[in-house]
Parts: sequence; C-alpha cells; structure tokens
Amino acid sequence: MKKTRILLALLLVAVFMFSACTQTAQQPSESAPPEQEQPQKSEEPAPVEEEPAELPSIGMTVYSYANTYTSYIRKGIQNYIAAGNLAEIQVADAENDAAKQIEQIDTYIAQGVDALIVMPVDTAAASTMVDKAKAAGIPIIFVNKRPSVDVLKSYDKTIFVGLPLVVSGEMQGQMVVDHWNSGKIADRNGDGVLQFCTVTGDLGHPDAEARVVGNRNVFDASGIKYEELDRQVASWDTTKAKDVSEIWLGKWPNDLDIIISNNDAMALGVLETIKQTGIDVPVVGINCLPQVHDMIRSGEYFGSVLSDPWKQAKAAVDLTLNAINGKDWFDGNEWEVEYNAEENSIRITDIMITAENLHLAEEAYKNCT
Amino acid sequence: MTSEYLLRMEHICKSFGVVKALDDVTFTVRPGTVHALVGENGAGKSTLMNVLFGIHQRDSGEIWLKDKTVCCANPHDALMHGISMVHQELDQVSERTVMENIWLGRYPARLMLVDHKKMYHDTKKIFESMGVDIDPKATVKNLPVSYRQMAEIAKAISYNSDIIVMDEPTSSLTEKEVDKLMQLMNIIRGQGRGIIFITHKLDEVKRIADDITIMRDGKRIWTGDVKEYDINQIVSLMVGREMDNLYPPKDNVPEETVLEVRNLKGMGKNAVKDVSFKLRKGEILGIAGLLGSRRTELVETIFGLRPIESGEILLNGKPIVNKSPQQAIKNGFALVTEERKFNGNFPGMSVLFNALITKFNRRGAYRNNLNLLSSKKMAKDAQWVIDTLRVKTPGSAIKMSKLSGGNQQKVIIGRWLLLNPDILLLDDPTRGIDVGAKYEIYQFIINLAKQGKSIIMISSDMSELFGVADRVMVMSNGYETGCLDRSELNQETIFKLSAQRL
Amino acid sequence: MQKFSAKTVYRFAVHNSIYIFLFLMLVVIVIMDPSFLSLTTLGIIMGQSASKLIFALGVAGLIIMGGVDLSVGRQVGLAAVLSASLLQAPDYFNVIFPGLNLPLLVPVALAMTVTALISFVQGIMVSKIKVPPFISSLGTSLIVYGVCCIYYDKFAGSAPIGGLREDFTAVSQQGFTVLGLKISYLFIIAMFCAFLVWVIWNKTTLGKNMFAIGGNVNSAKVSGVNVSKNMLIMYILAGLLYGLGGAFEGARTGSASNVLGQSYELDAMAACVVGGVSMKGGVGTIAGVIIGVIILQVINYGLVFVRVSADVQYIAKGAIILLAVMADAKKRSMID
Repeated sequence: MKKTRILLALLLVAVFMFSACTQTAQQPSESAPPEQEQPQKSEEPAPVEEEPAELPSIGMTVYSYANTYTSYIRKGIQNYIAAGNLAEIQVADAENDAAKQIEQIDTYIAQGVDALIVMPVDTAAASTMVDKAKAAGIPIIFVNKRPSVDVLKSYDKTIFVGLPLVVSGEMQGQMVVDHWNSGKIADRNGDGVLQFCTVTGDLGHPDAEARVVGNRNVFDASGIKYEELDRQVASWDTTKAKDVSEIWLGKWPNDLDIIISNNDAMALGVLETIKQTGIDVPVVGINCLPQVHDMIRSGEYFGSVLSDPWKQAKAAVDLTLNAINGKDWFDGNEWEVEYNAEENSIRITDIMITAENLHLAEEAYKNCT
Repeated sequence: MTSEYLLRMEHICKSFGVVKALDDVTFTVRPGTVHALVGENGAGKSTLMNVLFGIHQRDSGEIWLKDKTVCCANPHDALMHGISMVHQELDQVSERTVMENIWLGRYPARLMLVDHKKMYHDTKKIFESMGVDIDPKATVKNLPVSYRQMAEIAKAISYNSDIIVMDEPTSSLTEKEVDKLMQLMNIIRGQGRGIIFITHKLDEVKRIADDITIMRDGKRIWTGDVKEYDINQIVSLMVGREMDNLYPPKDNVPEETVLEVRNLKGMGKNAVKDVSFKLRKGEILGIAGLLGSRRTELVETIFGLRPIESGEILLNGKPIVNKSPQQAIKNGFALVTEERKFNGNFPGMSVLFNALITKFNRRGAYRNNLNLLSSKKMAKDAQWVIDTLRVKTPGSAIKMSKLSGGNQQKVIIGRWLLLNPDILLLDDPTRGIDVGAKYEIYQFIINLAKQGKSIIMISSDMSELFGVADRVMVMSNGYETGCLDRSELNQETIFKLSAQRL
Repeated sequence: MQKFSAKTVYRFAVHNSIYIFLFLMLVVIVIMDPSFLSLTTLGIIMGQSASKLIFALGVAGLIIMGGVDLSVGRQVGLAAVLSASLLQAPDYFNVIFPGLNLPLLVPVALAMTVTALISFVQGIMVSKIKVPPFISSLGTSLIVYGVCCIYYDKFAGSAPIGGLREDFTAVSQQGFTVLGLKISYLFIIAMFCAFLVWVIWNKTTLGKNMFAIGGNVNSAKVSGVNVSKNMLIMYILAGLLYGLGGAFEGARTGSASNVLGQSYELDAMAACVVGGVSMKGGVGTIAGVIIGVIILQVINYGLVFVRVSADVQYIAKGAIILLAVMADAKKRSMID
C-alpha cells in the first residue's frame, strides 16, 4: 500500500519532469520554427537580433495533433510566423476534446496572450470561446472548421478562415460527376448507373457527415443515375479503410465504379487493397496530402480535393497580426478579395486535383512541412 | 396444530452426472434441539445443506418447514423462511464493521439514511443475549476468527431464524472459545430454535448434540439419540469399518539435531518476537498456542515468506537464510499452509497441476528430449501422489475444487513429498478434515518421520498433538514459552504456557 | 424425464452459447446475402485476423496471470511506425531515412526489441513495485503514444508513412493459394506464433507458473514459484508479440501513422474474453484465443458484408462480449 503510494508519487514527479523537459525542448521549436529545415535559419539570427522589442504573443489550439491535414495548417502557421519572426506562438493539442480546448483558451487568456487562433474541436463551443475572448478584449481567429455565422458576427475581433464543411464534399462530388460525364470514370458494368461505396470518418463527426451530404447534393443536382452500394465508417483510420475495402472488392469486383473516401488517409488503405487485388477501381479523396501526390501523378489515385493549407495559414496569421495591432483586417494584405461579408469568412477556394494540375497541390504544401 | 418438527427433508435425491450425491436421504430437526450431522467429507452433508438452501435443486424428495412444504430457490429465500447458515469459510466484507456485516442489505433506515445508532444498539443487544462482548463498530478484518464467527451467528439470530446451520463452527477455535460457543448453542436451543451442527469433532457432538444423523456415501446410515452410541461406534458407522484408534502407533525414533533456531525475531508488528528451538532428524515437533500466538508467522518466517529481523537458523550446524520460498525449498524445506483457500491450492486447476506445481520449478523436472514438459512423466508423478496419499478422485485431470477438503489437503502434502524435503512445516494440516482422512494423514506424518524426515506440526487440536508429536513447543504472543517432552505433556501446562505472555 | 432433457439442452446452450451465437449470426448473414459463403470471404477473414491474433496471444498470457494491458494498441502503433519508417522503398518521394537498405528482419527485430523493452518496464512496475496492471499499462499507454507522436512528428512530419518496401508488404499481403483458398504468409506466421505460445503455455515451467500465478498468487508463492521473474518473462513475451504483430499490421495497411493501433487493446482483450480467457485469471486456452479473434473478425466482416451500419455494429460487438462473459459466469456457477 505504502509502496504503491510512494511509487505513484514518484511516477507523478517523473511525469512532470518529463513534460517539463519536453516543454522546454518544445518551447523554442514551437514558438520559432518547428521542423527540420528551419532550425538553422532561426539559430543564426538569434544571437544577432537582440532587439528587446516585444513580439506579440499568440495562443493557438488545434483540435487534434493526430489529424494529418490540420497538422499541415498548424505547421504552415508556425513556419510563416518563424520565417518572418512575426510573433511568439504557443500551440496546444485539444486531443479532440471540446472541454479541453476551452480550458486551453482559459489558460492562454490567463497568460495574457494578445490573440487566439483556434481550430475548433466542436464548432458549437465557439460561442463560449468568443465570449471569453471578448471579455479579455483579444481577437480570436477560427481556422478550418467554421462556427455558425451568428457567432462569427457577434464580435468584431473574430473572423473565420476556410470554408463551410460541406464545400469539400461538394467539390469531391463535382469531380466525380465531371469525370463520370466525360467518361474518365468508366461505367464498369455498363448499366449506366454510377455505383459507388463511401468510406467515412468517425460516426457523427461533423466533417464526415458534411462531406457525405456534399457528395449527395452534387449528385442529386447533376441528374446522373447513381447507386451507393454501401457506406461504412473507418474512423479516418487507414487500416480500417483497408479492411472495409477488402470486403467491397470481394463482393462487387465488377460493379464498383468508384470508391469515395472522406479523406486521403483512408483512401490510402483502399488503394492498398486495390494494389493487392489488382481490381482497378478509381478512388477519390479529400485533402490532397503530399503522401498521395506521387500516386495521383502515376494515375494510381484518381484525385483529391485540395483546401490550400498554406493560404489558410498565411491568412490566419496576417489577419491575427492586424487585429492585434488594431488595424483593419485587410490592411496591407491580399485577403479582401476572398472575403465573404455574409459569412464573415475568408473563403479559400477548394480545388479539384488530378494528375493534370497536381503542381498546385505541391505548391500549397511546400511550405507546410 | 404445531408440528413435531421444525424441518423435515424427506427422500431427497440428487445426482451430479453419474455420481449419486444424495440417495434417498431423510433428515429432520426438532424444535429446541441440536441435531448433529456427521460423516466423512464427500458423504453428502454439504450437498444436503445446499439442497436445503436452494443452491442445488433436488432431483426428487420433499422439504417441509413446520407444516408447509417449501422449496427454497436460493439462500436468500431460505433466510426469509427462517433458515440461516454460519459458513465454515466466513464470507464477510472484511473491510467493514461487524454491525454493517450483520445488517448488510437491510440496514435500519431513518429518513432514507442509515440509522447507525439503531444498528449499533440492535447489534449490542444481540451480542448481550449471546453473552459475548464484541464491539459492533470493530472492523471485521481486525477480529480473530472466533469473533468473526460469533458475528455470523449473531447475524443468523438477527434474522430470527428457526433453524441455524453451523458448518464446522469449531474448526478454528481454541478450547476456551469452543466452551463459549457451546454455551451459546445452549442459549439458542433454549429459545426453541433448532441447530444443525455439522462437525468432524465427535467429542463435541457428544457434549452438545441431542440427535445425530450419520451419513456415508450419499446415504443416511443412522439417525437417533446421540447417547445410544459411543464415539468409536459413531466413527465406525461413518467410515464403514472398525476404527479402534484415533491415532496410529507412534514408532518413529528421533536422532541427531538437524535444525536449530536461535532467538528468531521477525520484521514488523505482527511478527515472531523471540523463538528458539531444536528439531531432530526423524522427530515430530508439535507447536501449540492460542490464536494470535503467531505460530503461522513462525513457520512462514522460517520458510522465507516473512523477513527476519534478527536471530539465526542453523541447518545441520551451518547458518542459512531463507529469503524466499525458492531458497527454502532448495534448502530442503516444505510448507503446508494453514489456509488452503488463501495460499494452499489452485481451485480452478487440475489435481495434476496442484500436485506438481512445486516440482515444476525444479530444474529439469519432467523434461523430454526436446526439453519440454513430458505429459507422460507428469502423469506418472500425479498418479504417485494419488496412490501414495490415497487421494479419492476420479482422475488427475479433474478440477481441484471438486475434491473434498481432506483430499485437497492430501494433494497438497503430496506436492511436497515429490520434492523429497528434509524438513516439513505443517500448519494445522488436519483442519476441517474428516476422521478417516485425519488418521491417514497422521500415518503419513509418522511414516515420514520414520524415513528420517523432520516435521514441525502446528495444531489447534490438543489431543492431536498428544497423539502424534514427540515434543510440543508452546508459543504465546510471538514468544516461545516452553518445550515439553512427550512424557511431560498435559493440558494444564500447555494452557499455562500459552497464556504466559498475554 | 422431460425436465431432464430440457435441462440438458439448457446446459448445452450455456456451455456453447458463444458458438451458438456465432452460428445464428452466420445463418442470418448468409440469409441476407448468400454470397458470404465463399473462399474469398474465408481468405480475407484469415488475413485480417492474423495480426490481431498475434497481439491477442500476447495479452492473453497477461490476462491469465490476472492482469490487463491497456497499452497493446499504442505499442502496436509504435512498432508499426518504427518499422515502416525504416522499411520504405528508396524511390518513394518522401523517404524518411534515404539510403537505408536494411534487411527485412532488422527493423522488425528492432520494433520487437523496443516493445519488449516497454513491456519489460511495465512488468517491473507490476511485479516488483506492485503497481496494479490497470494503472501501469494505462500510464505506459499514454507515454508510448506520446513517444510515438514525437517520433512521427519529428521524422515523418506527422504524415502517414507510406511507400513501404514490396518485400515487407508482401509478407502481410501476399500468400499462396491452396484449393482456391488464399492464405497470407502473415497467417502462417500467426499460426506459428500460436503454436509457439501453445508450447510455452502447456509444455514449459513458465506456462505452468503463469497459470499458477493467475490461479492463486499466494499459493504460487508458497509453492516456490518466483512470481516476479515469471511475470517479467511473460511481459517480455507479450511485448515481442506486440512488436511482431504491429510491424506487420503496418505492412498490411501499406502505411503507418500514429493513429494505427488505437483501441486495439480492447479488441485484443475482447477476443480473449470471447474465447474463454477469464479476466479473473488462471483460465484460458490457445484454441480459445484463436476462436475469439476469429469470431470478432467474422462479426466485423459479416456485418459490413451485409451492409449493417456502424452504430448497429457497435451494439452487436458489445452484445457478444457481454454474452461471452455472462455465459462464462453461468458456466462457473453451474459447475459450482
């Protein structure tokens, strides 16, 4: 009993020490450049620039480090800030927990940060976050997942960078419809009906649901004949997507015209099955991550939808800095063009990427690693 | 019309597979009597009680409570019908207080809250009626076994039960405590209740019981007035053959000293304080003492289960340290523990597993030429244990929990004999075992001594020590208070020495 | 007589409830879609069960000793990320360690060493320092996940590690065909592991001691079983199996990320429980573990095959786990 207690205490101390270590190790890399190439840049100027001029401090909370796509936006933001030495930025992982994210915002406000950048876990919690930022009088910039418009309009120092969730799904659906009509997606069983399966993210996840709805909206509007053979949850997990697609390709080897994936990570699992079985069914995804660029180029992977992470990152930082300095949102930057006053959002347009325009995606990710 | 009987169980049959556990058994209890139920383990006493409590469903037969025919579905139902049981293995919530255990599941409530005051006073009242002095607020785990048992009896009384079944209530009590229990049984009998008294101790049966039912092999052999037969006759009826002696002839001859313990003191609060003794080759050294005399702690310390603070253990003149049971085993020690359930057997594993577990850990045991365990060699040793110790079992693959207590104990002793140890530490080896098996175990012990093994045997049964031991060491509160030769043995001296350090 | 036969049926039903449930489910699935009954189905189920069987074998030993291990999934994830990062094809666009061309076994062995070490540390905590296994594995699981995230972030840039070498993925994905049934190499490896673990459980002192510790740790101590040493070895064995299974789970998927392995501990333990390994310790067989893994995989596969939605799949899986445990408890009380 006693032993256990002592041990637990020791463990606790060890954990604290461990986290303290990683924190000190992370602090510089988080507040300055996070990744491989950048370190030299910041290490060199560090001794030179002794100017005591206080940099503005930004607190950022990300809904999950485990999410690959948003990690690119996160890194884009960090890289952009580091390259220009624009601010001190702290990053926290909300681990997909809305309550945790609110706590992190409380902590940031208590620390006295000058602005908040939030990739929300739960957009419904955004009004709470805005209220907190409002009470502290600091700007709060939402990225990636859009809170409701009333919330975005409830405070003059808040804005959203990105698109409504449903747009990526619509774009993906449009890509399928376009290529179905052009014949690039073949009617494999020749019945004139687009047969497809959808592999989705977590059950009830807003992104997953919005993407499925987006697909459906476009299909219905386009007037094509379609049939969804099955839809299964793979929880954004490559392995689970592979398991599910093994079943589909075993069951409908000749009928499936396309497999639609809610994101690239799951598409990778599906592609693995296709490679293994040799059944040539096109796959479309969302995010257009660097991992899939080669596969898109070679035609193995049909295509994906790009929401430019670098543009989102830059827009978020530019707007944040303007807000901190009390300037107009669009003072000295290019974002006014993309501004949609009705939604109080900077809409960074989604692009359908296939082998032909892959360079756009490569460009978009170049600075986000 | 009042019935002549509180309980009538008539023509009860119960089979498990092909085994007829109960074969047309009739059993009755009259009001205001103690009815002893005796028989060897496996005779069907427990099954009969399990049928009464609805734990097993009878195949045929009828049960009448007073004038109503009833069929208790489960122990709780039985309780509601006025039948309660004080178990041999006390199933109490040991982290809670005595009174909470007594009123468990039906706490007196006031305004939706537990009325601790009422609970305390009610408990106190019951204890007073029983003539015992236990603090209702004491935590159960801190109480000696006898007190815990009293608490169980109090619980039975609190349900106002007509029939109280006592399963081996005296097995872990000292003589004094037994006296107290007997008084208590008298009081309960005087209240017009009936007691079913299951025991192996026939002198107690003679002392307290009015009626007796003897069972053997699932059948009722005889029911009648306890005065009609003497103990030897009862034993003969139980085992089905003549038993003239409770103890086998003692013909071992102690030789030179092999083990010497000098001023042994264990670490911790409840450890051995100061014990010295010598053990000779071929000798059976008995250890007597009251509950709390730390006899168990002594053998556990010697066996390396408890740390030593100071003192010496000399084996054949050379000092040794048993830091762990492994080391003790290497040094030729063996320990048969007191509480089989706690640290003796593996109830869910086979008899074979239970018989061989110690030898498994001997280097190279049972290996075939692939250096893996050979089923053939294992089966051979298991059969040896079954044969040598005359274990009653359908085979070595059967689960240990299906064997009776005596047979389980034989398997455990057998597991040590396989290692051929020099010094056997036996902690109350006949506890809860029937007469026939006891006799056999005494025989093994004396035979082992004859083969030159040295044996330390703890026992709560004074007559057992007189019957088997060459010398008896008495412990009191962690101290050795004396060592008596066989010729000097008498109860009074032992009692005096046992109480010396209290 | 009638009562007797009804009782026998009931008894049979309780003793075989899990198989009856499986059978009924198969019947329902086949009625809904007869094409389920095919060698392809069997082949895929075998392929998907293989790596899961390997981890389940590891955790089963710990459960039998009376413990649990909540760190299985994260250890599997770490092993997958580690081995994948060292086994990328040199021509992949985003090779983490360019110019590395290790023999296949080296990274797999490395992953196994790392997980064995992690499990060893856990074993020390449980056996020597007496930390309850639930807590120690919970802590370990978080730490391992954290370490995995750091590695994944620093070296792989938080992006799925793809482009795995052909010889590596072939082990999990390729195989040979016997009478129309495709058997993957990984399945053979899993069966070999099952055999090896069977030998350990049944034919070595270590195995006997494992059952002794789970059956009654106090009796084991008195009987001369070196409890902590045997526990440690079982933990190391479990770690080795997690590492092996993890490496090839990555290969099966064709890529690895830090998400891989999430909640595998629950699947592995559920498979054990369904297969009759008692959470109370001391009870379990290899055949049971294999059957447990396969039953869960049949459910996974079959429900998707007949297009049951994910929410209902959760309910079905939960129900079968509960059923298994209840049947187990009932069985025990029947034996009494």
